[in-house]
Amino acid sequence: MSDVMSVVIMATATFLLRASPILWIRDAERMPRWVKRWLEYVPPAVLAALVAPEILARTGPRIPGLALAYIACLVTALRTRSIILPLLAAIVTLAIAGLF
Amino acid sequence: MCANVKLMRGIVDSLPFSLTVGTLGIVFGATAGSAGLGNLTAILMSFLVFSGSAQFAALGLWKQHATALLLTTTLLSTRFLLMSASLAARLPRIPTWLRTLLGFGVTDESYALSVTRGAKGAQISVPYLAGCMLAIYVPWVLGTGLGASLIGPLIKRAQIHRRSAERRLGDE
Repeated sequence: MSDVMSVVIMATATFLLRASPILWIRDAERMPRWVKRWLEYVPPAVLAALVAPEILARTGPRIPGLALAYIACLVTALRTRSIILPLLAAIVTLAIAGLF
Repeated sequence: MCANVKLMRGIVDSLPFSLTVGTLGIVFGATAGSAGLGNLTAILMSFLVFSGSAQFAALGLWKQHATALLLTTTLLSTRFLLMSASLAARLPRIPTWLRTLLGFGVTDESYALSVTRGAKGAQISVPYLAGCMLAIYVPWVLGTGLGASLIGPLIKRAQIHRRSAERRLGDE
């Protein structure tokens, strides 16, 4: 029972944070323009914040070829604008680097 | 483009993430047992919480006080507040039940896909967003189920076998 309670607590906490803006802002047209403009900067900021610490301040065991894999991923992403190809490029690079 | 086509488009665009999230789900399900979660608890968690970072963090905190769990989940979920707000600014007028479902489905992956599609600041297609969310939610829950019921026990059995084999070798 307490296990289920813990799950419910977690679910409630994360749901409230995820859903409240979408539930609260019901009409985007009536949103003040400065708020809208401010929110336009959120995607690049959030996405960068998700990736940057992993690249710049990674903790954990050393993985050979990781820096190369990042570069392969970035170059493939910029050239192809695909999602699966950069992933594959990074995986293949890591696999090859792991052989040495 | 009609709604079904956009939904399919969202699902297809998300397939690379379906793969990675499904795999992560298997890892979560398989490791949940050794953290003290029952199979059903692990699956229920993926079903209701739907957050990889919060759930993996919870594994390390499981047998501790619920406050730690609440605090960690809240901290790890604050990023969704920003994502959800920026999505809300670009959504059309839709009913509350749909808002509730979309709110539940906000993840790093579905957010990244839906905001980078189309022009900067352009309205987000609801069926497309729903497709992205679905293509991430389903593999996450199924992966957890597979990991908890099949992969986890297999790993455990392999470990037991190895330990008893080592013991036998030690005796000789």
